[in-house]
Amino acid sequence: MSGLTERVIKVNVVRAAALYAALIVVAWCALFPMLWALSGSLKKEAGVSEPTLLPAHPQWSNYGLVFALMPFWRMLLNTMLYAGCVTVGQVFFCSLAGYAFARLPFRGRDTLFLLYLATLMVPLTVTVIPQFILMRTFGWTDTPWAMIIPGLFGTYLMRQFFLTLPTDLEEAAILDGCSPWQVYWRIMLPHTKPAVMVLAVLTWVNVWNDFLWPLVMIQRKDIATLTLGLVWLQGQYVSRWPVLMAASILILLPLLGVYAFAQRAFLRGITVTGFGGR
Amino acid sequence: MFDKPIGRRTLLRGAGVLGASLLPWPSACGAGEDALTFFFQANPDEADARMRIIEEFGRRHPDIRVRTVLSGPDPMQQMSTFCAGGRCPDVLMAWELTYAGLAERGVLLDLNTVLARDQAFAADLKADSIASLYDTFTFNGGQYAFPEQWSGNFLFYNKRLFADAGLRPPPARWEQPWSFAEFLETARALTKRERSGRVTQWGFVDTWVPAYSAGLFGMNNGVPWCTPRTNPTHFNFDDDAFIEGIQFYADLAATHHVAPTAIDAQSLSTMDLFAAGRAAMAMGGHWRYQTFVRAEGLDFDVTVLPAGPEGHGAQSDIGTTGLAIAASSSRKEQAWEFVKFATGPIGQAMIGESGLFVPTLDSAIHSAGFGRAHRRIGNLGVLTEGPAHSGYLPVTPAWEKINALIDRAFGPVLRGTRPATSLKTGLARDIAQVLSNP
Amino acid sequence: MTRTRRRAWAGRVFVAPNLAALAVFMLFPLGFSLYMSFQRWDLFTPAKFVGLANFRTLFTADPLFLIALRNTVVFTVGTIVPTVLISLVVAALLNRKLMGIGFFRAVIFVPLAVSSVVMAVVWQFVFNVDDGLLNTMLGWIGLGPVPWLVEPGWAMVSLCMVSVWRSVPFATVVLLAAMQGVPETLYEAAKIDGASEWRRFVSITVPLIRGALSFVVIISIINAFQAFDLVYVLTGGNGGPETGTYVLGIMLFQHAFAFLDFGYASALAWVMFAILLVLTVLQLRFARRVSLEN
Repeated sequence: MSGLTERVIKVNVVRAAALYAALIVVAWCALFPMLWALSGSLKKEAGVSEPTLLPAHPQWSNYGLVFALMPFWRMLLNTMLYAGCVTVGQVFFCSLAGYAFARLPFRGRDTLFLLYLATLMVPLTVTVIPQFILMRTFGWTDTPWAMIIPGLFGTYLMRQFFLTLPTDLEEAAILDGCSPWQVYWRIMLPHTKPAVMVLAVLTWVNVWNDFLWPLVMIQRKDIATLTLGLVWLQGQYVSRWPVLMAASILILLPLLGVYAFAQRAFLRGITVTGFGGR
Repeated sequence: MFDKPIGRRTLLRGAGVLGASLLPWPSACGAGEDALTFFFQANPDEADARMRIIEEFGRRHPDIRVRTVLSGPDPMQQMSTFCAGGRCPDVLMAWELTYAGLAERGVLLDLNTVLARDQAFAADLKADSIASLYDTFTFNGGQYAFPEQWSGNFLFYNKRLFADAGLRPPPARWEQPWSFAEFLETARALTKRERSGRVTQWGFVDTWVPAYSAGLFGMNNGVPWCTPRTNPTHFNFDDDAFIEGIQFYADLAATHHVAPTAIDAQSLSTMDLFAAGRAAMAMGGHWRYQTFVRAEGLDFDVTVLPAGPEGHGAQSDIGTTGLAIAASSSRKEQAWEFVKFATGPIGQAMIGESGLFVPTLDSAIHSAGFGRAHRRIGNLGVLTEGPAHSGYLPVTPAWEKINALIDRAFGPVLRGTRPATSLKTGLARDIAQVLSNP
Repeated sequence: MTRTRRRAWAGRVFVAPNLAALAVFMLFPLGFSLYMSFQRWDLFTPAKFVGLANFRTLFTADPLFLIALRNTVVFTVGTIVPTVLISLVVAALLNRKLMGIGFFRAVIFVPLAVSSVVMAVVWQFVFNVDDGLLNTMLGWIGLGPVPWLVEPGWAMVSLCMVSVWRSVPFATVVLLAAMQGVPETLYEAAKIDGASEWRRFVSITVPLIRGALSFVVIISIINAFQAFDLVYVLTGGNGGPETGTYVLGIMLFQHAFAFLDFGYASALAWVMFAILLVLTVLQLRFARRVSLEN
């Protein structure tokens, strides 16, 4: 091997090592609170705050207690159904509207878009009560319907992604005689798979972790969500912290599964094509 | 030529989800519309105890169904959202510090009107109640809730740590308290440090709200929080003896270093320290009892708070929660039956036996069931005589605003960066202003 | 129908479902809160009309409003700047075909998925003055303990740290998705031309993810400005210690549900709305000008 090749290999190894080191630092920053929660969930009630990472006698029974103290499976089912419905609805309707805002010129488009953004700017605190009143007028309080309300920020996200797609793609399709719907469904949407995945995952997580809305809307345990279960594990002054930690880990796991699934489902086979070397 | 669309399968899956979502749920309309709603805040153990009371009630009144609504971290927000939206719960948990605002606005039913029609129960209640607790919920001539449990503060102490340090056990009765000086001495003797200065054992930790605890020490120096108790016109933050008590509490952490830095209330770490045996004394109320009982290897008992030089005997605080009925309830008779049961002799006896609460009726506190539930406590008198030896907290509709001011002003005092006497000019004036324009 | 008219019609139809949802579920609440800002309402008794009194008090007689405003600006800037910078770097790191990159991409997602309940407890332990993780680690390198959540100034720093920790995953996930849409061929061409990694990043990646970047900035500003959940669980509902973490979101909640002054809270909410609207319009104009120049 020549000296030059050796040097190149060395530089590459150093580079790779540096990259991995940086990634590990990032991973640690992202993970350490949950690792701490994991270790907390295995401790006995006294001594939760001690800085030991792995307790001497891990109390796996705390996880069993979670199932005893709250109807976990029912709540899991409920949460998945709510999140599923909202995600499917959001992805579909928001990507549709996002495409329209990005690419289909119609009168009043930009003011309407600003209106969308504006609705994000009024704090939730003051809209909770009138929304409760609204739900009550529809008779939806304490029913599943109240949980399936489409969010609106998804439109903004999709619009931004559609804006970045090159116009040649569309123009080719339009010249070929495709209707706007076909352009959207067959061309634009597949090219924004990463964005769709992001929107789907973010929506799912939002619904999964939302606790104010279910807190106000739901009183019956059989339609309650997981975060409500978590809140109800806490009392006025006292909570059984290890059990709380165990519950939060259990609530987190399905989310990781969803993320892994979304990554594979949406990003598999995505080919980023060049555009004619322009 | 074109990429495949999102995938028919994914779309069908989505539609399937939507369809399946409609199946497993029972009727979409809220079933149980005719049940009595009971709103309260509790951890799972406490909720369990309440369920037992509800079940017992159901046995005696099979025609009345009760539906529980558990509160999240902010009961006021939930309650006001429900009431503003026209769905006020029928039976509400009431807190001594915050109920007055609701009573003033006519949200709570004046129970005197109902008591007038139920003379028998009224007489029983009068005989069996502990006056100071009962009067907590008397406001502007009306009675807006019946007390359900006493949550006053006292001291838990670690028997083994006391024995190891060769100290005499602390006092067992409110009538024979120890002094501030004795308390400080004990705490000093029980604080252990490593060579590096890091503390391995604290003499004293506070598991309550630091600002309120400071006020409690002020109370134990002979001065009440405010005058009069209900709708106060004056808070005693400009009283030297009250300030002395507050300063003593602040000095525990800031000057004598027998207690950790006073940070936010309900911090897990202070309770944890005592449960793990790393703190010799912990100030708190009965709500900590279950946690300490479950802690392995913790041999503890309870004792009274110390009395200051200006104080006359030691006091706890009249912390209490109660049950109230919404004035807008359409099921007042049923709600009354439930409240009567839960705050009456039977419900209170059940509460006492559960070991989760200290009941508020004499008969229940001194019952055998209560004693059995607290077998591990030697100085039971601290609990049974506690309510009778309690000083009041303010009862005012303006509490939230005053509380915010107190919280802000106490920060530097508790950290030791400002003396407690600074409260005389700052906080006292601000509170006077709030009281004069409600 | 001509092609443009068909597209315009399609545009309206595509937007219609979203618009309908907005009209039904947002119009009433927005109108209600606007109406309430001119009333005095304590949530239990009937509301009383007071005209502009709420706004007048807010701007002239409430020193806490300015404090809250200042804290909110500090918090927003202290969150956005680190978030954008860090997430750009992290997204660039993750936008590679390294072995095991999938694991790291999944890991970055975790803070986003954590509920605020758990976050509060965990971070309180991290920030504990005597025993917490941070002060312990500082002790290893010889630095004294920092009064994280105890002193007003440091409390704001702690808050920003947690907020950045919370926001970076969201921004990273969005930016990464955008970066994955940048064609490989552009990078290859630049490499052939001899451009360094940094050069490639600045001249190719960043301009091409402009849309996602502006989205991240605008949404993060809107969220940070209204921040309430995080502050409430970490430092309580009073913006303590003293007024160290007293942001507009806390002030809003306190007036609405503690002081039962819902009219005043609504007025505050709409003032916040006005500020955000102006900020967003300015940003959108700026973004458009930048894209036109390109």
